[in-house]
Amino acid sequence: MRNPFARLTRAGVVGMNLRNADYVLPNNPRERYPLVDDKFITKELAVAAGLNVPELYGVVRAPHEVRDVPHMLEGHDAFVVKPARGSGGNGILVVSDRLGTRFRKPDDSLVAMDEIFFHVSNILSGMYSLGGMPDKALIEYCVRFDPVFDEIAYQGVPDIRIIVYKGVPVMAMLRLPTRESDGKANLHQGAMGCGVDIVSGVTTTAVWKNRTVEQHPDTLKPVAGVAIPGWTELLRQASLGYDVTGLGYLGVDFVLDRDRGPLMLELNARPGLAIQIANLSGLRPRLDCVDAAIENLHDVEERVAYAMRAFGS
Amino acid sequence: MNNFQHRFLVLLLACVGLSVFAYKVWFLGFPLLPGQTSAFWKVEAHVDFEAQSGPAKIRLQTLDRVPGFVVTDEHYIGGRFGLHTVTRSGNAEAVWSRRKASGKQDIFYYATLRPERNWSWTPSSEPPRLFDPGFSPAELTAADALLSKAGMESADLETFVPLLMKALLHPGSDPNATYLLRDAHSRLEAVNMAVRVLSLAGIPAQSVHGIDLVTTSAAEVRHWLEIHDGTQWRMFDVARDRFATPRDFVPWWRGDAPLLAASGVKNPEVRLSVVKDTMAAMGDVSERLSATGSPLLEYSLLGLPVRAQAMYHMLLLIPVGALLLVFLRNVVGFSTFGTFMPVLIALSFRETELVWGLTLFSLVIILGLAVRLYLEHLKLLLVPRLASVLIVVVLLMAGISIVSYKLGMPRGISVTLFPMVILSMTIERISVIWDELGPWNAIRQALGTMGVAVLTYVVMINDLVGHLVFVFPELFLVLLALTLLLGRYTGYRLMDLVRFRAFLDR
Repeated sequence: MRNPFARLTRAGVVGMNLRNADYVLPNNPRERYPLVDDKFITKELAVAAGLNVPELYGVVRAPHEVRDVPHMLEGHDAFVVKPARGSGGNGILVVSDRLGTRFRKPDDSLVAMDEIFFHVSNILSGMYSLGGMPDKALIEYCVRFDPVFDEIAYQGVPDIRIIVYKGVPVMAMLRLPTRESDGKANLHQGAMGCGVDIVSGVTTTAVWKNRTVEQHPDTLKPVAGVAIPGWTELLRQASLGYDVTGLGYLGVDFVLDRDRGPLMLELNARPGLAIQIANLSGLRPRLDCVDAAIENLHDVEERVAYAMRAFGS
Repeated sequence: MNNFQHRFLVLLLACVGLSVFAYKVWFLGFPLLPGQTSAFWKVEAHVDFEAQSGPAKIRLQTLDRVPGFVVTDEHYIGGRFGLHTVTRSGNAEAVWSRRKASGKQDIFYYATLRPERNWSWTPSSEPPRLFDPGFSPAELTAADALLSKAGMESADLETFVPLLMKALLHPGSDPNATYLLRDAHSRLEAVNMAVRVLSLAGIPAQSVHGIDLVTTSAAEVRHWLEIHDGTQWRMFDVARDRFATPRDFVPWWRGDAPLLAASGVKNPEVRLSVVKDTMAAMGDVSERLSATGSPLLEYSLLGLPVRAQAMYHMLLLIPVGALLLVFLRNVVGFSTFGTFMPVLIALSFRETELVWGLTLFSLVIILGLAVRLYLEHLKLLLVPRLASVLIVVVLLMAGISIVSYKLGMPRGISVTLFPMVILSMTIERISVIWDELGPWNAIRQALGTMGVAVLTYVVMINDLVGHLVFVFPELFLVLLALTLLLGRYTGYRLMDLVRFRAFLDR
């Protein structure tokens, strides 16, 4: 096989043009994008559909509501303040503990209530939202990570991305923050991606900065062979993401909480293609399988069962 | 069904475009290449003024016998003004007059210049004549002083004339010249003073005024001197301050008359423009078309006024750039800021030339980005932030222009022609990407944008491309067909090979 394009085709790799023309455009109607662009709306829909999400303590929609924030925070020592339309993990304030009248951040610095007000005001004015549109501030449960990834994550939030096509989970990866990605889980910011076997939920191959690797660059622990707990439930929740939004080509992001299990963080109408590199296999054959079988898959259970039958690696 | 529609539309557009194109080439003999024909020039003088409800008279120098060119298709369009043409001291003049006129008025003079083949500049064969310069005693003293100073510092005519001209064109340095030119308000009068001073020195001379045949629409009047060195007439270029042989220069009129003389009107202004015309190059084509009354010529871009044509020469290149951009983004896989930012940047390169434009652009962007990253610390909101960046960009441009001008690089001034908004938006985009995806991505996209802009520029300045889109606008249907075709291209991009190289290594 001399022709490199033919090799990509044989591996079933979906390129950017194909993703946009054949999967995103026909299956994701534009009018449904707002459902996933605004995390507040996503959360409401998800709760209604029975998905687990981080509990919402309060939402600030307008500047005069800022004074209700202390009331929202009553009884919560740890919480997260984030913009509803933020992107790339910007504008997220994490508070892990309360010390008298002040709050402690994960890096042990202290913030006062005034600073939290200021942060909320900044979010409302659109500082962190794309295009600078006025935004809402969400105050929600602060996830306490499942220790299962302690050895292979470095400062930050490991999350699980599952691509759901027409309601069938087709491919998954675990995204591990590294020192280089500064706690962010985006692959192009230097995070690490590990492919996850759809049947068993065990990590397989891993990719970091476009190279296949065996160990986490910071902790030097092998990343393959880690089993994600509650995998079947995770797939079921991911599949529900389709029923919630009606988007046929969808990326669903989860985090694992040590007490509450998988929590859905956000949905993405244009999930990237790096997941193929992490799994070292192309999406195309799996998407074709779904296109052929979707006629006979009527509900979430059937769709998950099909995925676990068809996509073993 | 959709697919069928798409294919059908592509085929239809391509067929229609290509058939019209082929018809024009094979049956009507439109030239396919820009160099295939001798160039023709359409010259236009546009006079506008405000009449003051009294008798008004407008006197405009017109083209007469231009050496090396045949002047045809002269039109004098003066509305309700009466017209007569006269010849005074070897110059053709058109005089428009009206007993009672009011309000804003426009008068046009058009002519077409057809170059004679294999003609090169030959000196005039008139016998040299000296005339009395008619100086007052004080002026005579000043002119004598000027001549003796230039005479002392020079060795022959080659060095004498430039010295004299320098004194007269920059009279601030020499009190004698300042006195001689105390009533002069234009370069024309300074040049004519030079003729009188040369006459006093016994050197027969005559001023020639005309325009350069260049491809920009607005033309400036250029001045030359015809100086007799004892054996033959030689041409002296006032602008470049040396003896030279005129090239692409059209003498419009000679002597000390102004281009436009008006009485009884307010704010008379004349604008000259010249445009290279390939339609005229197809003289026989247009003859035949007009004989048969074909609408092809009547309703084409070539029927527009000269100024509008010059604008369309540029506008028509944008779709070409857009198609190229589609190709580079969706087939090669360049990532660029915004969709058509590179095309706009390429258009601004046309104003400044490539290397210089790239330097300026990068400089402004880097400085602007530095400011923008500093503003990030101040935590400004989006709109005020954009506005601050815009203000800083304007200041930077002004600064660059001033500094480069002081350093003697007049090119620096052309930075002001850059669309500032484009620069500000670029800076804003870079910084947003910088925040969201990190500096590496931002720099990569900036380089991609610049690369695409350069490629687009190279295609857009190509003579053949410019000629084809202007003479055969129907080719845009083919362009549209190609774009629609690329719109359904779902194959890999070239950059996918890099992105998915993990699959290739196995």
